[in-house]
Amino acid sequence: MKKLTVLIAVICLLLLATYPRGVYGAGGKFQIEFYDGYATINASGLNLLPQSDRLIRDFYFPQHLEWKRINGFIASWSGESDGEYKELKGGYPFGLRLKYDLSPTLAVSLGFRSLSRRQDSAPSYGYTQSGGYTSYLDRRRYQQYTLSAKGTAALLGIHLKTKSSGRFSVEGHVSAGPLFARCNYVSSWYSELIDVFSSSTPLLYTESGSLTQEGDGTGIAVDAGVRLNIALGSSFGVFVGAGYAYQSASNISGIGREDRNGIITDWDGQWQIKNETLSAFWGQQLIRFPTSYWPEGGTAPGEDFNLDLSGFQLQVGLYFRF
Amino acid sequence: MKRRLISSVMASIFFLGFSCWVTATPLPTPSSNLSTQSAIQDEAGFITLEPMDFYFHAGGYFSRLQLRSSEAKIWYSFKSADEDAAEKPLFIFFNGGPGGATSSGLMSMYTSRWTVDNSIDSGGGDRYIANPVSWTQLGNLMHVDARNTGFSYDVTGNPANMAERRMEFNAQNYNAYIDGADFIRVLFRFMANHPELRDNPVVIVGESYGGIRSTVMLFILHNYRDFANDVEFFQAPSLVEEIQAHYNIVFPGYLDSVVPREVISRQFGRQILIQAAVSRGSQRYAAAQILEAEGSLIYQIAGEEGLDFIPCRLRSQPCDSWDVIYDFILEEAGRDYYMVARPRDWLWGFFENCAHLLGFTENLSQMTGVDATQIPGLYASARANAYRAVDPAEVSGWPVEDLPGFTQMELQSQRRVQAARSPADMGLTPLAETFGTLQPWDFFFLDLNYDANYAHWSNVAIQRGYIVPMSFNDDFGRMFLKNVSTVKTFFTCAKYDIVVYSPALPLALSYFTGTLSAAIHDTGLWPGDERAGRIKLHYHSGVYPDQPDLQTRYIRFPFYDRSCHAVSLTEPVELFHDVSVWLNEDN
Repeated sequence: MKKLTVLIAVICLLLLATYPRGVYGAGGKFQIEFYDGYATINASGLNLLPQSDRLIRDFYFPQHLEWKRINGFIASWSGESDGEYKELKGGYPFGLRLKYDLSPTLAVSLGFRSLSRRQDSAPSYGYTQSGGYTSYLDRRRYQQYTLSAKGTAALLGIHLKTKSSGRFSVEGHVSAGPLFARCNYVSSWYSELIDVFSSSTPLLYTESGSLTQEGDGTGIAVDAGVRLNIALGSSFGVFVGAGYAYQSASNISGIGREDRNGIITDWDGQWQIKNETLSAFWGQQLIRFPTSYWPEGGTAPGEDFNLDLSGFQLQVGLYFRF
Repeated sequence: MKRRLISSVMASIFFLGFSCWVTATPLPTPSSNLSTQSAIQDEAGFITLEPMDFYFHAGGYFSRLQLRSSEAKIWYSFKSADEDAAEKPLFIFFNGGPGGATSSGLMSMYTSRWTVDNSIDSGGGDRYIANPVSWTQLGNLMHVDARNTGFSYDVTGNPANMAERRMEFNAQNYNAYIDGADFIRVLFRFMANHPELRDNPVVIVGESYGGIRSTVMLFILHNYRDFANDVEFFQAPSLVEEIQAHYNIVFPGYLDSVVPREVISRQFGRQILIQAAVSRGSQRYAAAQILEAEGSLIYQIAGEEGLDFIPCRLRSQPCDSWDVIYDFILEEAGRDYYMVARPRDWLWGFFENCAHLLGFTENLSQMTGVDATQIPGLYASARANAYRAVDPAEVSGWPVEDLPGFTQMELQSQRRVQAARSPADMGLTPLAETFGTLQPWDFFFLDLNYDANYAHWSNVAIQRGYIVPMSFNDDFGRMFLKNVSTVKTFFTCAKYDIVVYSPALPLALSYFTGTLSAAIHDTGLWPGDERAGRIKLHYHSGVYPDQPDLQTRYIRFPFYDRSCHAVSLTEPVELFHDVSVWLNEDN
């Protein structure tokens, strides 16, 4: 989509250089627009997932092993990690809009905008503890670690624009409408515990696992922004703009599946924030993360989960009047 | 109780220190059931435990350690009570280790109808005699060998693959909790097949590490719902379902509801602990305090031997109290740490003899009371997927120097005893002649499975911090004290055992100040006692919400002044008498 937008923009610029000057802003009262861009995403709730995975790793390995070393259970430990549990930071909205001029300065519109982002990571780590009876290497490698979110909004808008001054005009808008959102968390890994000093039978334990949680929900999208329209011809042009989009969905629900060495658990439920306190003889760690897994008799939900895709947006687009 | 590995098919014995050839005494014709009045028959064989899913967690569900135990064939020997078997309690016996066999332990030492002869001074210890204090007089008996110990064996897809065998010896099969779960499942399966006994009272009898096992079993049975709702760090939903199903039958008034602990204790309300570990860290610490004090048993041994004992606390160099004590007893005084009144390896000789005796078909039939040739699981043809060890060429799959220090001492004892023996022909039929030759990685009998023992001490659950090794874990002590609040408890106090130095138990329990305000050793002789000893536990008010009125409990704690780690061997009559009286006491 981005490449297409760039290509169209280049073609338009070439046409601009050759198109005879004429009356800009002419054409019909309808206008169709396509746009692309970049948006920041405030997916703080969803980003609790990679954050908690990172905290879990640090709790069971560096913190645990350091405690063991300090208390004489092991002589030493070492570890290395590669990659990171990446969070969602931004997305790429694209959309189309049909606008109708009520007057030269006022228009209404109906449009659809989709914002999506997929963040893949490839974390891995390995920790070795030595002393006691032997040395053990405990390591994990993720075959997939994906966090993704998508929001599609149907928007009714009001547009206020300045009168065309030659080729340029400034336009502000406010639009709102329902939001249909989706989020996805997929991780799959392979773990193994190795006796470092055994040449014949070093492998002590393995785990192949995966965890997938999907969620769909609805909410509301409201956005506002300003843009600069640049007419390239009497009935078409480009625009560039910025704004802020509020889009947050609640009541996220969906299916989940976990596979641990062939032990499979399937479920469906509503995404909510789970508060867990990891507690061991070396300390405690609070973790919070959204999940749809709420078995009967288990931990009660902590708070609601909102899939928040709000953020500042930059848009570049094309319009055609007819 | 620590045992050692033997190759039961080919091993022969010379009993250390007594120059006794193992006799080829003709055995009496095995009787399938010596009780002519009981309608329940003796039986022996294997109970199959299918794989079970469970997990350890530290408060996080998705960060848990998910495990699946392997299929196991658990060996049991059942002997019905001499009279009115259907009305009598069911005693379930097990030894410790972990990794130690019950068949060559409690089953062979003055609890069954036959026993190894303990009259070593007159040349015994190498044959069976009729047991004058068979516990079949008290009830029905079930002796169980733990997973991959004794006659029990595990099953895997490709047992010929050593790497696969090694991976079997890990937390999914060897930890205190799955160990307790194994015994609960075995018990329930047995009871399900014997409806006439299903709601009878159960008396758990555990020796040495068997104290930990009894503690875990009873804690799970009494607090079972917490093992499927993420309260306890060991979670086993299918086990809890099985427990609820059993309670639905035994306590129908609580159908599918949580059964209160005091109700559960109507069936699981008694335990007999013989030189048992119940809170190993506290017990070791307390015992070291006592044994290092002037005038202790160690000092008495030193005086007898004309030696000087310098405890760790008086040494200028950093040291470990128990390293110093064991070194003194074994190397300087030349005594047996299981029985410090006797020479080094004394008790090993008995275990070795018991294991050797069970290597013959006729003896196995005699001890079990059934025709062993009718037990299908013993035949080589039935155990193509069986395995017992990581590396059959080695004592354990790990270098000896990597084994825990105490286990190394056990190995050294084993080697000394074996070095002193000479082959002897008993004139009996070795198991291999009857049941066929097993694969190299399979054995009919393992007295102590070192691979299983090591796996309990070092496994992925311990590496990841879910389980604290027994020596440092006082969770078992807290569980034990909660059990005692609803379970009548009998705990032996042997004079000469320093591996589990029982006189330190009251002090060890007093360390649990969050549960108890005091643990007092009452050395007075109560009416009816032949041997004095009780521990009075003073519980904090309201320490258990379901027992708001709990104030005190007594542990029957008789002192056996001639006894070692195996009290049933050294004072069998006395132990039997005390247990008989205790069973009829109020708590």
